[in-house]
Amino acid sequence: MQRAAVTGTGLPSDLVTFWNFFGGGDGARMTEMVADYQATYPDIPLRSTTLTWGNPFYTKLALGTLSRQPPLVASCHVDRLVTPVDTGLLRPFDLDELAEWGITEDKFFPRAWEASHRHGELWAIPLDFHPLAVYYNKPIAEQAGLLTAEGTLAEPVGTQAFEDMLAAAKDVMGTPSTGFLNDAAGHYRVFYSLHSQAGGEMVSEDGRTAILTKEVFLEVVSWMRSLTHEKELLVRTIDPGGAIANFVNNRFAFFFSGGWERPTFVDAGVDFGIHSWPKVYDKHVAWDGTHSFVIPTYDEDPARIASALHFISGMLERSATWVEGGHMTTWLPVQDDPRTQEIQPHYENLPVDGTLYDPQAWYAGSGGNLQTVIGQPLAACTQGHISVEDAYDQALAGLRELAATEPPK
Amino acid sequence: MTAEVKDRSAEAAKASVDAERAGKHRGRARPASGFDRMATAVVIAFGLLWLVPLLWALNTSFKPEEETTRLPLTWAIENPTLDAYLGVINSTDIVLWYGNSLFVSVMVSTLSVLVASMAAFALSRVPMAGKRFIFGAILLGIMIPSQALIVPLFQEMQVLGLLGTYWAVILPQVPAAVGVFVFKQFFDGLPAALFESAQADGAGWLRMWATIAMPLSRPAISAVAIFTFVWSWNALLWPLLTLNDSQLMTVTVGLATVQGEFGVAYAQIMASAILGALPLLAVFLAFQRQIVQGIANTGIK
Amino acid sequence: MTILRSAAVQRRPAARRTARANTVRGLLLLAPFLVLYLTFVGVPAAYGVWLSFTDSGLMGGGLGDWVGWGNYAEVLSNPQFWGSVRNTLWFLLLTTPPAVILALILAVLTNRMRRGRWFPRVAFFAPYVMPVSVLALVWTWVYSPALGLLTNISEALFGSSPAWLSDPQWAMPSIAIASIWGSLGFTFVLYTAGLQEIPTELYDAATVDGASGWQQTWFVTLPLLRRTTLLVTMLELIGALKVFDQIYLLTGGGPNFATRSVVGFIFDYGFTSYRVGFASAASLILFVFVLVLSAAWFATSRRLSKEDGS
Repeated sequence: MQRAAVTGTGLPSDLVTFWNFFGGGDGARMTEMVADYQATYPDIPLRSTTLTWGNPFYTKLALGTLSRQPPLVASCHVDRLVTPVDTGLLRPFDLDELAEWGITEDKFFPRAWEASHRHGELWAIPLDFHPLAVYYNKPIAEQAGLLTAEGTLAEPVGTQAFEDMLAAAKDVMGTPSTGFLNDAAGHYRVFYSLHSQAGGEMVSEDGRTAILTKEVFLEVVSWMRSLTHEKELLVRTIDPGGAIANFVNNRFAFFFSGGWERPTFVDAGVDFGIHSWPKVYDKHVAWDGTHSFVIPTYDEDPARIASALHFISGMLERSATWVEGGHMTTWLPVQDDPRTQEIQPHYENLPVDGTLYDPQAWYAGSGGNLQTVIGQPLAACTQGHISVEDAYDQALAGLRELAATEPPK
Repeated sequence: MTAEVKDRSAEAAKASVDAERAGKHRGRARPASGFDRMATAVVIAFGLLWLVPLLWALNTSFKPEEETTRLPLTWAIENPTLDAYLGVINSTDIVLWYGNSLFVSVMVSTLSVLVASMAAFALSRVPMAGKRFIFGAILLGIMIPSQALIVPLFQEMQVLGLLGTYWAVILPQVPAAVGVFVFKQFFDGLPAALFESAQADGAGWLRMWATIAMPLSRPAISAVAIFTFVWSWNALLWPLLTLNDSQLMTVTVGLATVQGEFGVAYAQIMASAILGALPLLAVFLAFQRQIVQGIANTGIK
Repeated sequence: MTILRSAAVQRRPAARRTARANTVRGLLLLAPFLVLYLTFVGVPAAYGVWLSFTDSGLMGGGLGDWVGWGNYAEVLSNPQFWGSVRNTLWFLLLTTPPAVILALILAVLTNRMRRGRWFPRVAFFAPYVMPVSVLALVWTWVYSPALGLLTNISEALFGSSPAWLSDPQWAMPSIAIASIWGSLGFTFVLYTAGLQEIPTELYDAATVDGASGWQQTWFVTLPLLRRTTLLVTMLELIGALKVFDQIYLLTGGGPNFATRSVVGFIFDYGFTSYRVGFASAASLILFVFVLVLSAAWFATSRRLSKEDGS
């Protein structure tokens, strides 16, 4: 290995290298899945490397490919596919080839399978999806009369019902029952869900024109701000770590995020449920994201591709472990397995009108610039630092700048 | 500009040696004033303050994980353990990183000393045309921030096919203009007679460089070697761009890019930090005086 | 004497031959350095200038189209770029004056110590020999929201603590503190060397004249450290203009780009957005900044050395 770096030759040709960005609870579960795969196939030389999440990961993936040292398989958010696909970083999957490994469309959650496509080709094998959800503390919700007969959260339909739900919990606890997470992503996910529910649009289909429907933005954000201000139903600001700590200690009745905090709360022994983000406006949709596997362009050797597909299908088969991490698996054979259904608490419903991925634009996606330019002014607004109008102007200006910038090439 | 640096460093180097002696003498001659005692107290207080973050990291690294998240924070450790260190060594490639860093840094410092001293010798001793121009061009190089070259240099390395190899990391660090200054200034100070007599004996320039100049230049060699070594060991941005395989990374890049599989295990993260700091810290403690002297000699980052 | 000189005159053609041979040999000695220097500094510098006039992409392979001054116009009209300039200057202001003053004070005080001078040397210098990634790991832990040492100290003292690295107001000062911690030792040592140049006789004379410790420091030490101060200030300034490593590791330029420096901007556009032509233009603008600053320093130190008569 080291000698290769001195002489400039490549990696051992049969080594399966897997780069991923999973830290925390996800990291623990991915390690478990990889270790289990390795235990099942002890003869496969395998090396899994966890790199820093977000932009640094995608930068490393590009630089690794330019260095002719890409991993055989990499993890990828499907909402980050635009740039790697359009710059020729990834190898598209061949459906016939996949079928040989039993990977076929009918075995996937359709929405995630669809989101893994671009320009009519399949670029990623989706592993999971994790739409925005409302975690609720069951004892508090019960005391506040918010549960159905089955013991799940009664869906609050419409702004009034949502406020009533927050108010009921506040009555029980005496303090606001939660808050919007004050990082850009936290605000972005809630906003994107609500804005889309109310029929707003952010950018044109090709991502090159900023839209950000003004009247919808003003309505949605005014409402969000009223919750933290006039109505005092939410705390003005809380960082993700603080919100998690409060939910763990029963000081918050709710927690707004994707399903991935499940292990934290399970480990802490909280009695809770996970309910998909409710229908507050006209359409029942919610922000969603998907982790997937991709194959960087490099090696066209069929044996190498076969090892990659073997590894990917091995991960899909082991995705019950992933479900424990709070994600929904896209792999229906596992999802439909009764044993998977026993992993509780878990998402008790999904948004009726579908889940929402980020727009297909180079600046969108997990840890991308879109979350920042929208999320930051929103956070400033709900905290009371700027007005709703100013938040709109700032968000639109940021969005316009991103949309006007040539995509990477 | 750098001529200034160089002059000053020369003086500083000499002066500091003198002062070391003089200081001892002064200590005996002059009684300690109240001001001196106050000075000592302030300096020690600041020194301790400066060590706190490191000591806290060290303290955390010896705690079992469950003690690291206990509030209120405490320096006391109920069950001190080396588990975190074992965890890091088992779950990361840090041992490989040490080897990689060592190889890269040794190559950089050896090659730097060689090429810089040869160049400086020519500029200092060989009566040749165009010396001033060449020296000026090298001077200019000190002013180019290496960060401004990363983009074109990366593409050049791609064309050369060196990306992903140690050479991509090593070669650009070798032509360190500062090294040329340090050596030139040192060679300028050597008595001309030494070379004249050798020349009379028919020695060539290369031989004079190897047999006369270099053996007399131990301070300059150690200054340049130590600094190119430390800089190369600690370099982040360029190796971060060029080394992509986790097993080929240097300690600095590895710690910055690869998350061990320990997630939020603070004791392990701090153990990895301590392990990352250890080699150079040890070298520094062993060669304190020379290193500090070396800084005075070069006087430039 | 005369004989020697006439011999030299007679041997002039030979001397010319020797001079030419010397030039060739000198160039041979210079060759290893010069070849590497041209390959890894000269070529990329020239190539960078050229790239900056094209719309080349990182992944596209080959050069993009010629766009003239387009990239420069875009960089200079890009609010994100000016944001990064502002951040860099803010970092400079937060680090350079405190670091220089602190190092000066500590070096002067250390110089008054009778024994145990190794202690401040080790304490201040140890952080300097640590990889920046270690610095980042240690300070991320010190600043960590719930469990951080500084967070808890601040909570104990003031009842609350800023979100050191995630509050846009606090992120840069927090990075500055960590940076000063890491680099103080270097400046400290330069001052120590400067102090040791000051002849002991001056202090002896001052003592004879009845000057107190304070007075000696104020009237003898500080004026004679002027040139060291100029040097370290310059090194700090140039270092601050090029800041990247610790920011990249501590905040990645966030929150909301509040800590993205000029080099961070170049890195983001070049290696995350793949716009190498654009990033090269930004690099050249950075180079011009550094050059102007260096030239200003050159002029000032020239004048000072003349005043000092050295």
